[in-house]
Amino acid sequence: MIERLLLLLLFLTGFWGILEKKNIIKKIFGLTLINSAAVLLFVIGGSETGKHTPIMEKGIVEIVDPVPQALMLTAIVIGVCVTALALALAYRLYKASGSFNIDTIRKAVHDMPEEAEIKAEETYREAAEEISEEAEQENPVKKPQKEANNES
Amino acid sequence: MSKGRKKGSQLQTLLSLAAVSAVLLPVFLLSSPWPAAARDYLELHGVQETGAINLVSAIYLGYRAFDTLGETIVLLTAVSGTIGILSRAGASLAEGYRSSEETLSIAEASESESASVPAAEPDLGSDPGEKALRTEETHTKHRKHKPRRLRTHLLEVVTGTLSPVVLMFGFYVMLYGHLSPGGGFQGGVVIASGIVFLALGNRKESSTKITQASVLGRIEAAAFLMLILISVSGIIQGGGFLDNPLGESVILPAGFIILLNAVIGLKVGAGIGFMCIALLGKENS
Amino acid sequence: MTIILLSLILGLGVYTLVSRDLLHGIIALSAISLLSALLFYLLHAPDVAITEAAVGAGVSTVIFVGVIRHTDRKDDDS
Repeated sequence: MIERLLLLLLFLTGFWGILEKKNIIKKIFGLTLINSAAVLLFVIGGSETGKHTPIMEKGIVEIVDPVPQALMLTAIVIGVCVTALALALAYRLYKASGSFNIDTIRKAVHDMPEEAEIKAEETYREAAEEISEEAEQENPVKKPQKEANNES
Repeated sequence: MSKGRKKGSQLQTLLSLAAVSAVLLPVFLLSSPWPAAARDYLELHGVQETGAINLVSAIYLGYRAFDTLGETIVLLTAVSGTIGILSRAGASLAEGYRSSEETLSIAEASESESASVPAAEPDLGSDPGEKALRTEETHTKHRKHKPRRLRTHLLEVVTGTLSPVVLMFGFYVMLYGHLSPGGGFQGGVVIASGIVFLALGNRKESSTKITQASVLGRIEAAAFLMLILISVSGIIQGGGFLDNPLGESVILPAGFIILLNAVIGLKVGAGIGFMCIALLGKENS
Repeated sequence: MTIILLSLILGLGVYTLVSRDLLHGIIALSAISLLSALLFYLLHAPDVAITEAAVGAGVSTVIFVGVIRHTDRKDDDS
């Protein structure tokens, strides 16, 4: 009973982290905590039925329920994949706004009008192409400076 | 005003926490005993029906193999999503941030532009992590803190020496999954750790190719293709999807499970290793 | 024994969320994984224990540290 209560508290801690924390990485920590709480709940539940590991060597009876173990096995692996995906998204947001704080990120994304974004991308491609052309002519620095000045 | 808003958001948080706990309290504090029917059935018939002594392996590769196939598809999606996001990181969105900052010196900007534009192309052969890192370096430079050096001498020596042992253990866990604790997923993550160790302790002149992202991607794709082919091969033999095509073998009763374990282990190991190496970026800089 | 381990896990979980340095949070997270692996072993689930140890202490820590190293380590608010 106390175990279940502690697990509920762990789950709620993770949920609180997702809701209240401003830092995206902290939110991902919360996600991981929720995942651990669910996995622990299933394994503890399944272990109530028996006394032995579900490896059927001779003379083993009264095994614990192997079904939740098999389910949680895949859940852990999928959990780490979800964490990695979330981290990649956070990394991308950091690239876009320079911060992990969601308020800063929201401001940075709002202040960025779409047209300017598209235009920036176009100039950016052109500049990159010109740079790669000029790199062959051994004059890499001069032209991009002009480009960037026009852009700003 | 901001104080009032903060109070309001705290109230909202408390309310949602209360709602979640009201929903979850019955789930967590369920006092009815755990149903034992599946356990009893597996205890009596599991070993005869699948040939695997480890019942956990017997479940996720025998009774629930279709579910496992779905899990591997989720893994594939997560890996490709991560790689896709990372290879685009630092492209268009980063430009908006960068143009708003005056402190960035222009030479650095042009350098990072030339580095990150090719990364936008969906090219599996090139290494997305490397480009992302190069773009990123210019960023951190103008944020006035350099990335700390992760590779110390100690780390290099320890991981470089330990990685073959870890890989060996991973393959052992993977291939003996039907007899002892282990199997495809467990062995796969151990192999992924071994690959990460190898990447961390890898010196430039070493000749292994397994830490390269392109090689890992190919291994994963090949393993997934093999998994699909193995699943379909049961149909050709006249059985159902994911039926055992090998038939009942006296020498190796769990032959099909060993095969599935090896393929899934390769897929999980290559996939997670691929993801880690992409997130770590290239170390040799 | 289960209760002791679970209390430790809960305490580390709270510390993960309130710590100012994200690196400390990551280390606490991998400690949570190790304690969970020990708990799984005690609860007769060695398969899950192997997976949790490899994932939590190895893979998960590596990807978190990889991202933190390339970006910002401090949590400004809280």
